[in-house]
Amino acid sequence: MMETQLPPSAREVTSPAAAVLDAVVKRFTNAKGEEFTAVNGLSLRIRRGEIVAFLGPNGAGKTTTIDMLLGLTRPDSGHVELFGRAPQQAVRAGQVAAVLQSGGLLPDLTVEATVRMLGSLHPGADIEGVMARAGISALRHRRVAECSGGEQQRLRFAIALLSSPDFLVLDEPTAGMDVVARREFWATVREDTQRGMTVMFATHYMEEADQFADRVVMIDEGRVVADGSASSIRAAMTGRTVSALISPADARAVAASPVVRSCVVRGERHYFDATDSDALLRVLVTQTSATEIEVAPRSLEEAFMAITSQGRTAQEGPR
Amino acid sequence: MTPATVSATAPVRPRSSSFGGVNATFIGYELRRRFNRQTTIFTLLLPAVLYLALFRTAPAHGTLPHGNFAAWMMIGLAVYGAAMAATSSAATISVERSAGWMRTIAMSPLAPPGYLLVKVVCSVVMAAVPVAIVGVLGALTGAHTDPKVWVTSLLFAWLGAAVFAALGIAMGLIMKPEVVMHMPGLTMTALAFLGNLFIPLSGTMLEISRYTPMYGVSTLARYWLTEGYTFSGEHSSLAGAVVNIVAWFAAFSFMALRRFAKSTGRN
Repeated sequence: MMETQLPPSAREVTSPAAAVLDAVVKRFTNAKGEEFTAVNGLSLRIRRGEIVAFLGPNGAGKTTTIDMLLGLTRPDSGHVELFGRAPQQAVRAGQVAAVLQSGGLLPDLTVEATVRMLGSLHPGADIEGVMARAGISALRHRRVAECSGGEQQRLRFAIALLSSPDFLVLDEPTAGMDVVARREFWATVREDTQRGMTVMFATHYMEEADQFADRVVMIDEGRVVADGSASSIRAAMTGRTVSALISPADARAVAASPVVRSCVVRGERHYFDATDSDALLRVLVTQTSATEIEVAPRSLEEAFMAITSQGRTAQEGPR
Repeated sequence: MTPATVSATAPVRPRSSSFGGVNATFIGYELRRRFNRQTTIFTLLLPAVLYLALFRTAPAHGTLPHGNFAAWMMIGLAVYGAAMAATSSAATISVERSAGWMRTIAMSPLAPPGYLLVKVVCSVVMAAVPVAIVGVLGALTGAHTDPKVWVTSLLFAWLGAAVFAALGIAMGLIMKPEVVMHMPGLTMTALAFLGNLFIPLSGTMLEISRYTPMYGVSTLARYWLTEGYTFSGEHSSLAGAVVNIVAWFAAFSFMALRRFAKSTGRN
């Protein structure tokens, strides 16, 4: 496992963690009676005030982990804690709220009736306030069944705000939304979470993790494969890609250098995957006739592909 | 009860208890969901129509110690109407389960006992409506019995709805929404025939009837009218009726709670 966490600030060290998952395991039995492990000894600590992206491919165990974090599913082994108490207690007390992936709404109710009905369970909840914050005041008389996916997600967000939670969990909140709806949803969330709320969101959109999170936790096959800031993960796991216009002879010579992991040609440009891009640049500038040199960090997507496939090879090796 | 927790960034949190969160607004919305066109027809009109069709179908022989046949039929249909209203929760619960509403509720301060309490309270409130309608029809069409019997019979018909409230919850948790729409109505009607509600039973049918869920409530509700005797002279004991009610209530509640415990997970 790769540990590239940024040093936590002094405040975060003294206050208790928002969430702790310790060696959590969850197995399911499918229809054929075969057992499979959805979450396999996952450990994670989320500090107060952090915005954490929980990243992984479909079937990596994201939703199962979130269900256990929220007390909706009981882990087979391991320990889960929210603000130092049992998950269900923290959730029932309104300290933790969630926007779940899909469903969870009654199609026959109107938007306003849904918020008011659930709001009545939280004494003193500001019904009009949460509808305004989630941007659904204009939709109040619409039936849930007639709302678009994005509108329903805003409604779920409004419901999550009813208890003024300290910790908000979002499970793939923008799955199935178009680009505009996705951008608008995140703008709403960002506006609302600038008050020091702890946020954890599951996603498989790399750019969402990149733009919104200050920490990225990648999971695959039910365990954490990388944990750190989006930029540090990119740097640590993949280095940078250096590309240039270069003669084939020079390219062969450069590709033999130990700082180059691989070399591909796309169009007229050669792309070098470098562990040390600075050293490679010096070689290109001083020893070759390369022109139009560009250095770019790899996209999170590429980083993720690299990390998960490395993780798999490492795991399968000893078997 | 644990004391309210105060955290650094949030206001005082509400206290948590097993019925925490249950309130009039929530029950109001729940009732509004229950009173749709389907349930209105089944629970309000059907018992009234059946009463008007059946209250003059007295058997040729046999009399009742404390009233007439119209009163006997009125009580039977009050029990039937109350049971229909109580099981109408099945449709809403089934929709809630398939929509994932249980997970939303699990994320709210409303704990499972509170959720079930809301369902039972709504069922009992709804059950009062057909009992009142059938009672008024009975009074207008010449149902005749002692004042004490009027009170006890309609009261037990209404409260007996609790047995079927539990059955409605269990049905809602077991059945899919597309199946559940008509099942409570059909089941209740079948149980009503078996439970000696519509047609006075005797002989083997009465023996079978003694083991069915509506027999207990109908026998109890009519006991002060009939003193336990059928039109053909067979006797049913009060103890038998109470045992029937307790046993079926326990069985339905057990089914409902067992299914409910399974319903919050995703698998």
